[in-house]
Amino acid sequence: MSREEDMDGMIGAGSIILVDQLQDLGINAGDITKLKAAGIYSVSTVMSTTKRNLSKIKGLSEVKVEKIKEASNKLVNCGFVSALIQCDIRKRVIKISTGCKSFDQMLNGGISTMSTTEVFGEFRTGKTQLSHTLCVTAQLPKDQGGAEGKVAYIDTEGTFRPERIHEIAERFGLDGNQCLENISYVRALNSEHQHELVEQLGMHLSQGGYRLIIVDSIISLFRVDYSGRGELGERQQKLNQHLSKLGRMAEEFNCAVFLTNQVQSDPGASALFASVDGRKPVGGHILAHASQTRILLRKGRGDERIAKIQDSPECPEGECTYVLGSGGIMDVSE
Amino acid sequence: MNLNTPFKNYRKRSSSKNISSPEPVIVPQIGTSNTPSNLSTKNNNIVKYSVLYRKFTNKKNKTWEGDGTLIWYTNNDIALIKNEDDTMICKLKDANKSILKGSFSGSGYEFELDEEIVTSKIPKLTLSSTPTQIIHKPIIKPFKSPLLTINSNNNKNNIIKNIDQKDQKGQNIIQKDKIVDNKKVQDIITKSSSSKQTKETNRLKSSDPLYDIKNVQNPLFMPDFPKSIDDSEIHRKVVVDPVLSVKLRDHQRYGVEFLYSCLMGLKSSDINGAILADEMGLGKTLQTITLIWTLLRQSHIVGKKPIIDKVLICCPVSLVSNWKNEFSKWLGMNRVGVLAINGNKFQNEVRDIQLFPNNKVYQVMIIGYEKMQSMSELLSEITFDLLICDEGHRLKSSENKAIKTLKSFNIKRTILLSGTPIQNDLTEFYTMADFVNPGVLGSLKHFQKTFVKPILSSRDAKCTNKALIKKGKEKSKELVELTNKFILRRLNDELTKYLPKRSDYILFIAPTSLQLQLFKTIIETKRFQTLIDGETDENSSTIKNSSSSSSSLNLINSFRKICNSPSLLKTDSFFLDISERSSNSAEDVEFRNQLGKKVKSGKILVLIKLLGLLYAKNDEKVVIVSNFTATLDIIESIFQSLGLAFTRLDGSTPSNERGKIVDSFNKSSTTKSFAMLLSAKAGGVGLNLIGASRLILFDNDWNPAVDLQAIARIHRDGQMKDVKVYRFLTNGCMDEKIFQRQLVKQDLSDRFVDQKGGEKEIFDRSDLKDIFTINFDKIKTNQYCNTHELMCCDCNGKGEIVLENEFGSDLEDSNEESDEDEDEETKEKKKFMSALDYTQKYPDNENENTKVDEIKRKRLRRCLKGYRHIQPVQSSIVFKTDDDILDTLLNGQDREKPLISYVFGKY
Repeated sequence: MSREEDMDGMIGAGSIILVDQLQDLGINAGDITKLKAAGIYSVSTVMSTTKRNLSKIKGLSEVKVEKIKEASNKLVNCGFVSALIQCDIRKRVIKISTGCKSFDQMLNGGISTMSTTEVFGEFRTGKTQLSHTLCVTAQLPKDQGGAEGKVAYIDTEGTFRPERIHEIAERFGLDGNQCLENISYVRALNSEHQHELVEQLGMHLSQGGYRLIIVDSIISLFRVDYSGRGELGERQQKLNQHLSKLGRMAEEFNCAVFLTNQVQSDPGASALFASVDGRKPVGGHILAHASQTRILLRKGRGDERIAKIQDSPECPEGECTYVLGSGGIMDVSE
Repeated sequence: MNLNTPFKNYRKRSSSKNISSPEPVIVPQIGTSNTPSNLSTKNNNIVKYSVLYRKFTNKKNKTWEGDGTLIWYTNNDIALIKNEDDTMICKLKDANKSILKGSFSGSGYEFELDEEIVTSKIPKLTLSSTPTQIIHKPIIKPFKSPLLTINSNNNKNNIIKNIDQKDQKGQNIIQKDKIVDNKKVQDIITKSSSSKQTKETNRLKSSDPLYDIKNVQNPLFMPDFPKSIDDSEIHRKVVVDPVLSVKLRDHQRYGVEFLYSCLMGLKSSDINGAILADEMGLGKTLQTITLIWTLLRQSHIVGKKPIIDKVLICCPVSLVSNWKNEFSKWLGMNRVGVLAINGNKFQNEVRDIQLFPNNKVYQVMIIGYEKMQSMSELLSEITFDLLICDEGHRLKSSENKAIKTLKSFNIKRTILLSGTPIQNDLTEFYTMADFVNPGVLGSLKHFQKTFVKPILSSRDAKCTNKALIKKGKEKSKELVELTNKFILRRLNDELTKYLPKRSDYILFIAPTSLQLQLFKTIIETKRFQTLIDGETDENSSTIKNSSSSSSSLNLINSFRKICNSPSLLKTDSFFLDISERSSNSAEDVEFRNQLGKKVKSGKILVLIKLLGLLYAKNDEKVVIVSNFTATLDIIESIFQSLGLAFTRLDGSTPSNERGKIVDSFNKSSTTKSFAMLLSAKAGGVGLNLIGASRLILFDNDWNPAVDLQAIARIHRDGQMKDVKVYRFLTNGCMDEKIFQRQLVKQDLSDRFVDQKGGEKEIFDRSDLKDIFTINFDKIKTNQYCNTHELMCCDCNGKGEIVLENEFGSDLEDSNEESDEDEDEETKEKKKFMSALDYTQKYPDNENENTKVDEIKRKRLRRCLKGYRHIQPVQSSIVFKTDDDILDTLLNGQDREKPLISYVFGKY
């Protein structure tokens, strides 16, 4: 990342083309309102939704859908480009520091935008603490490892503590109240609500200014709403759609999506699944493949915790140690 | 259904245009119709809706084929449905019911009602006017940075108050705004905050200094660059971050400016590095950190990247954590990423070094010299922009591997930090200067020819050639001028403005009779006599053979041990040898055992008394420094027997514990930790013992720097109380002699010392005889002080400030006078004259020895300037120094057998 990097992903919706621009190409306002009601706010979202799904929107006929798709194609080019251009696009990626320098080093700078990061581990390993720390670090200026952006926090377990945000903000020398202002918080009530929220999120994100979406945890409501083997298939499908939507949003709006996951016990586990103590993350392969970076957290000695990369498209395997403290996630100090 | 409806014209409608049709539909009112409440009252009998239609299908995933219009004749409740091409596809009866349902079917089609089509000229009312349907569009505030800055604009738009509506469960439902004109205000917000954002993010691109300095009292600007040829380069002022500049003292501000101009090539094109040679305690670390932070974040050219990106700091291993702590102390933990390679076993060092250049997590790497050697391959892959070498005098030898490795990294800018850069040798000095600025002093041969030879030959004590001396002085001046461009050295007196007062007391302590007896024993042995005589016979300028030099060293050490405590002699093989007590006979064994029990010496007695008085005072802690761990053992046992709490730090203390020990000593109360026992060499390395306000130098080392380091442990930044330093010397014995020589050496260190220097020089043959001379009789009078005598001071020991007149004329002048006299003398000597005249004019009175004594005397006076001389054993006087403990000690002494015979005090 050079200093002269493209800054307009930050200010306003510079690179985000909103659906309102389709009006100029002949789509009437009413249809655009319908699109927005369905949570589609930007033209790139239109491009990523299939015609089938667009037709399912209340009030849009197949003919309309064709027209909309055609118009969107004119505005956004989604064809082949040379990898060099892709490289330029990747320059907009911002790495958000996790608060612990060795953790950042392991991730080659921190958790990156335009990608989904999943963190899983047993209870008390620091997943929620990490989420809180990221809420604050995402607001730091870029030269301090932050992303200078707002945070959307979807809480499914009821573990969000604004008081912690105050403490963590103190550690970084930030104004606690302003930090809280920059976090958009919602408590998801059930898995369907969780999915609807993502649509709402589209509206927020299209205004620009968001850099981090945290879902803590992604799976807990799904686990509750769908029970038994019979509904497992449906659960996985819904989960998949949910994740795919989140992932697309991350790429379109240059945000980092940070997911927390739970673990399930596997009494009969053999060495097949190489997780440390016979526990494997919930969500199966759907969740495993949806997130680009996966990190396992486990408890070390005393108040140390160990993070290990399980899957990453760019970082080599590695481990690092961190401690949980009043300032969130911190380096092990000697 | 009433079929006799009058003619109504209805319009075709094309559904794909979004313009509302301009012509009003005029419908004559036949009768009153029961219009449902949600119909607009504009068109009485016709209501139009847009609908979606599809053919009936049983598919699971149904889609709407197209859009149509539904025209509802309210009077007879018939609805006609047309598709896009205006062909009618369905006719509905009981339209009312279907319309209410919303989705209905008919004629093989399924329909879904969309929205009403309003066709009048009157512009559509905005949705917000209809009361029941409010689309809540929460105002999304743009991102506002939560940074706390010195001048954070309180950009509070207090106009808007967002009230969160919470229901019983405490969930946020909707945010309503209480504003009348919400759109206008939103514009204001977005404009102001986005402009602020652009301001902040574009600060680098503007020509203003990076930090907002309007509110800073005394901003520190770096020197400007000269105008460059390239017109597109706009220069801006580089300013030190106010967070740091408010904490810098004056000399530190100058230091940072100096370093900046050296590093950026402002002084001269071949100068890219600097040597910061401030004395200890002046804040070299802080100045370096300020410079690093300034260069990491700023560039003097608008729009360019900051000047440096990655920094390498090499220092002794034990200081690595210290540097890291300093960074976090001054800059906080989050501004700069500091990677410290310090042998922590949890760290994967290789991986850390490999990942260091790839990302922006770390900007500074701190590594020990040895580690740097072993990782040199990995390190050579990284491009560093700045190199800092702490304790740079380690690099003084050009054959040093460290210097070669560092040179191979090709780092453009270098800073060398050292408290004692010029220790002994001009060649060493050349190595350091050449490392920092290659080529500035020419090649080594050139340097030796031009500078070293003339300077050294002029410094030689035997040199009489005036021309040579003059040339040497010139060359030395030239060298100093040349190097002053990139070497900065300030002395500790700068600090005296900021630090609390420091008083030095040199206590000349009477030796016990046992000590004197032991000295006598040694002096009267045959071996001793042969050693001394053998040495003085030889020519003073040739080097002794090693066996005799080592035995004189052993002898000196034995004497030192006696001064500290006789019991230390029990294990001294040399002493036992020389006094023929080393056999295993019962008598000898008994002798040795007895000797081992005789712990007490004059110094120990005074120590016990002093500690007692100090502990009773109960608010000051003390540091006791010694050069021998055996002595520290003895002192430790004394503490244990007295029941006083103490901590100990010497060479054997593991390095990771040292920090903790130091911290706990500084913070604890006197009951928990009253004293710190410190070994002189181990304590020299950067320890901060400001918790103590008294220092006892129990014995001294040949090298004055060691003692000075020890003093600097407590008299430094952060010390709150007045500092009192006590130096214990056994009167008339080895301690005092070493002390005198220390003073002489210290004086010389400010200039370039000739030849090999170091300890060997002290072993001047005639000097040795003097060292071992003990004037027993005078010592027993308890009023004698050898140093005082040597200084030829006429005061009567009453503790008054010694004025300079008493010493005679000013020393510098007298030297020069004698030079001039000599000048004339030599001129005259060149003329011819009779031998008789010659002997009359220039009698042979200039004995070399007396000349040397004269020099010594002058130097002693110079070094001990400012000390008051106190002879405690005087009948009527009650002494008052600024230390009441010392007063108690002095005044409470036994007149017959005083412990302290003399005191030099500087207060």
